[in-house]
Amino acid sequence: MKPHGWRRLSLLAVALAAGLVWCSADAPAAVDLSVGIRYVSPQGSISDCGAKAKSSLDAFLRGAAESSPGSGEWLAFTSNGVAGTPTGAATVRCYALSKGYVVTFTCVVQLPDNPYGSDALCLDVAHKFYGGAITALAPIPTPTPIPTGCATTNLVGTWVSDDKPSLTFTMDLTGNVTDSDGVSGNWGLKGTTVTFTYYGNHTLTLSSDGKHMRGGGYSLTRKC
Amino acid sequence: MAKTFCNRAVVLAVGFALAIGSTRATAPAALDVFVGARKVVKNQPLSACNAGAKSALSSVLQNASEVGDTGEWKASGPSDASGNAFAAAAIHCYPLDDVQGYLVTFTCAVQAPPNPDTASALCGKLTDAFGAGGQR
Repeated sequence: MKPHGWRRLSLLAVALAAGLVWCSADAPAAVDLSVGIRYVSPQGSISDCGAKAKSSLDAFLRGAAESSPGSGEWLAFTSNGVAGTPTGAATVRCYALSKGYVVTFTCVVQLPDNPYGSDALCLDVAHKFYGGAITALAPIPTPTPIPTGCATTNLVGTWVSDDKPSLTFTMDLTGNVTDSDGVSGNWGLKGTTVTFTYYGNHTLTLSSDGKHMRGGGYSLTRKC
Repeated sequence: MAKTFCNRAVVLAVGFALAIGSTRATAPAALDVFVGARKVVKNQPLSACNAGAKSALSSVLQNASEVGDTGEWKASGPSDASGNAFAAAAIHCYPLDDVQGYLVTFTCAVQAPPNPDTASALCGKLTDAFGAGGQR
């Protein structure tokens, strides 16, 4: 192999390694489980326990449901976190005794994705069930919304040519552009500088309100 | 000079793209929780449940421990180099005087991936390892 070939191979290896390290830098989430809270009621039926289990879970979580009808075992999850999936859950399991019932509380969360620990969740659910101090739980961070045509921080959406309103450009998340005649191109945005590849390369400037871009012979307005 | 620089930039970009593509290919980790089996075991002391819980958790997971003296046991999955565990389970033991036995329940949670098992599979392993008779 020629020296240039070795250099390129080395550069490729370095870039691969750097990219892998960069992409692996996020700390993986860990499973945090809480057990130990149990309550024995000397009176009441299994359906009483079930009703309280559902209302206690729904006070802090979503969609409390019995794992199988009549089982007295209830499960609920948090709302979706930033990854688009729940980051916590709790179970309340009722069992009928000869007099009253016994109920156990088990909670689990993903850390650090969930903003509170499993102990805090279980304490609140249990206290809601049989009475006790409730501590406010931090809200679950909402998933990052998919950019839409009206988000002014990117170019995704439809743009109309100011000079020729019949000419429109549809820009997608992956940086592709398609005009109203089906001709393809690409877009890029760095700060307010737009790189528009469409019959050649053009540099445009995005307005401060994100609704217009001009330059390189083009003047476009965002269509929301 | 400019051509060499451009060539190197292209090679670097390809390397980054390959690396990013390979790491982004994995599915996002999701929390999986399973309400496992519930069994009533007759004519057995609570100590038998505690022993079975500790043994089952230790054989499938790690760091099995009882919360105080409650008959409620928990353990977590093998930890990675950073000390993060991606699986956990609880076994609850409760004495039942009317049948001179005990009630035992299994609850499991995993983050998959990276955990290879689902929460349901984990609870199945624990229930088998517990090995007690009884009825659900």
